[in-house]
Amino acid sequence: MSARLFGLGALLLAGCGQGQESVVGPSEPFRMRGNNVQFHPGALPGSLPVAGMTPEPGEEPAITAVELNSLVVTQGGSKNIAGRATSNVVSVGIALEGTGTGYWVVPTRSQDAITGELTWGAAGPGYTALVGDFDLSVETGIRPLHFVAFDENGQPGTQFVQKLCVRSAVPDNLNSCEESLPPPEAVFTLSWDTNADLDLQVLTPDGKLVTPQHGSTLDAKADAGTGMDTDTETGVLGVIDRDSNANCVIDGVRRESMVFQTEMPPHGYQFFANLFDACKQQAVRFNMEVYVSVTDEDGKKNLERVFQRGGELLDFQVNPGSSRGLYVGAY
Amino acid sequence: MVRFPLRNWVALLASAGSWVHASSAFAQASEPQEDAEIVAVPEPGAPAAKPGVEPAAAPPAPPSTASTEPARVSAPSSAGNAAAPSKSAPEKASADAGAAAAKPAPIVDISGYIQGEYQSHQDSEDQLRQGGSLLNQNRFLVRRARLAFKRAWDFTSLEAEIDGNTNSGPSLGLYRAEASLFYRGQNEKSLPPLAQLTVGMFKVPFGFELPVSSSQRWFSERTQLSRALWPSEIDVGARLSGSVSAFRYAFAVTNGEPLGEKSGFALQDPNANKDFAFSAGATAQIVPMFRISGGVSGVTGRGFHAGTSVTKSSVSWRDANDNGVVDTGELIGVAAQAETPSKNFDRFAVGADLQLYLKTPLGETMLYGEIVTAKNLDRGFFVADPVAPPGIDLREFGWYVGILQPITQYGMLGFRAEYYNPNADQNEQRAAKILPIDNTIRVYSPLVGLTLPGRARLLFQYDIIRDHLARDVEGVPTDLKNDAWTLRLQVTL
Repeated sequence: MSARLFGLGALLLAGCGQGQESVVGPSEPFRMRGNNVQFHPGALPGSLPVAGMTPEPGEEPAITAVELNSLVVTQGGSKNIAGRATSNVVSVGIALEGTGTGYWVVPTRSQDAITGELTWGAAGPGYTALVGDFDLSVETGIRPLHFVAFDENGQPGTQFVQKLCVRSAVPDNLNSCEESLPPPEAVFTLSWDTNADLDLQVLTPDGKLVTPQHGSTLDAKADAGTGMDTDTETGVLGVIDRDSNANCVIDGVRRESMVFQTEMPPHGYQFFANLFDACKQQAVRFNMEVYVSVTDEDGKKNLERVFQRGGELLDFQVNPGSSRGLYVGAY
Repeated sequence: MVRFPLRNWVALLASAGSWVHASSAFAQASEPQEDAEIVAVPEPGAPAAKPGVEPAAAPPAPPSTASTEPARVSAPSSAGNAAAPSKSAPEKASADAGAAAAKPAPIVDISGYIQGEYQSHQDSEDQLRQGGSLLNQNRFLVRRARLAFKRAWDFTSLEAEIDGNTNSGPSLGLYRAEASLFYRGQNEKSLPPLAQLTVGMFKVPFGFELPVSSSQRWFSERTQLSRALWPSEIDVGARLSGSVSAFRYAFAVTNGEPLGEKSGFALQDPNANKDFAFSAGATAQIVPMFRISGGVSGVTGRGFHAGTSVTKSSVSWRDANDNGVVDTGELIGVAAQAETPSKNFDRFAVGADLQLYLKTPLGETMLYGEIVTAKNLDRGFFVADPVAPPGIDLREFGWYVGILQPITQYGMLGFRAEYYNPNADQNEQRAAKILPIDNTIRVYSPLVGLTLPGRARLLFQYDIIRDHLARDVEGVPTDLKNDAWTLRLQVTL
């Protein structure tokens, strides 16, 4: 009796732990979402394409087209991804080179009425569009996005590679992807972690308080505490790019940047983080950074961080008025 | 013929009205004349035997639907506690007299239990799901902390039970509230009454697993089948139940929106239709060491598909080229939308259950099972809504078989195999083909338990879950790695 019970127990335990890992892969820096998308750990199967050689149609499962609205995506942003494959393809694997611990698989769906090929990733009756999410930790620059088609036996074909520009969350005029495009001369950027309405305030050397509501050094008003002339039109042009989470309409960007496109600002700018509305968050932790344009040995310009300071604001420190917020530092 | 003048009727009604409005103290004082207090009223409507009770305490009588064994905090009344400790007649009389002089009459029975446990799930991750819910399920939790109050008289009883837990953060709420009228007939006090009418929050009489108390069940949770059809055991309504000889019956009319339902209408009723549930069964002692019980159950009613409210016209931005800038053609006008009406849909379930008990030198072995087929009744797992696209009925089917083997009165071994198919007709489009999807879930649950009879249980249960919630590289549904185990300590008041 006991031997039988032991045998049954051993049989059961032998079956424990089987199965496919997480469906959603939330720890991955590159994630995909959509109907029936599955994360698989490990390297993307299939051989890399050989330059100049195109697989013969019908020989192996193949990706025939990848449809992206653009070839640029921002760190922390999303992008719709869809495409077509040969008629013997049952699923498509997708991976961002050098990122994460595995790849994503999505089944093919319907037949394209014109080409006769199978579609995948596109929205349709009962199916949402396939979306790729690029975490803030994804490195900027040109990043190859790899696709591979699987046939009904799970055999992969040759990979299809589509290069993608992952641009920095800090405004850089696409300099991180294309070195010939010069970055702004300077960027003051405030980022934070929770969905609160936090505002970047910059006090210019001539006493103007630039806020998202008066987002340019030209139309900003003189700060009441400085006692300086309100009509002074000095200094260089800097513009705050957005009012993120304004009035608690959550956009999820959680970053505001003051960008000096053409002229390097002088020293003497002071930075404040103002909690306009906590949006029901208990606290918000922020990070203030200053980037300036530098020229490397090859004569190419890129942004270099010259200032960084973090801090935290609690919900009772909310300040919806026009006065300054928490002093963070100066550059 | 006896004549009764009109003015006498008026006087009678007036006196009745003043009785109804009398204070509770008056009511307490006057009630024993009509409805004398008794110690305990076994309730009908539950299955004919408890699953996994300690063998020494396994009576042939139907169990109470109360969630715990009653633990008296006041002296038993003369209505009789059959389980009173044995004493000699003079000693007992003296003790009873002394107790009666020293203690007041019983007020209320209080019972309760706490289930504290640790759960481990293979699919846990240190992340949050979209919307903020936890993906990590490896945790300690108070699964149930229940406290029940009961008072019974000759023809009436009331029961209330509160439940606290930390399943989704700290929670405390009313779990059960039953007001009952009953007629005992010739049934002994150890048996359910001949007929009992209950109104309030109670366990729906369906099948074997649903009415059984969580404190009595050895397996940590009900089967996936049962939890899908009834997210919790509790609904609001009226129930007529009772016992005739070896037969039992129960019939209930409820709102049909059980506690814990995901529609947002739990314990309310968005439609006027009520759900009707019935359960009937019997117990038979075949030979002294073997008995059998079983029954059939059914429920029918109408589910509710919630409509949508009107919307205002608005402007939407669709970033067609993913450049984060509003370009020409990317601003889209969204016209105001008319409301969509709510609709009802039919649903039902029928089932049968069977329990076999065999006394062995180790204890009373229990082999039991249940089979259920249903339509549009899944309210806790793959929630059924045949009004929503694609607009077809969802057929559910499931069964389970379990065995519990006591090892003396201090140990328990068990195993349960279960099967549930939440939608037997689902299909999807893959590779330009319409293919059926296998949604079945199979769970195999071995358990080991230790018992301190009547007081505490320590159990370990491993759930081997075989489902189709993941996808393989061909995009075909495959098993998700989501086995789980539970280590639970239960102590009863």
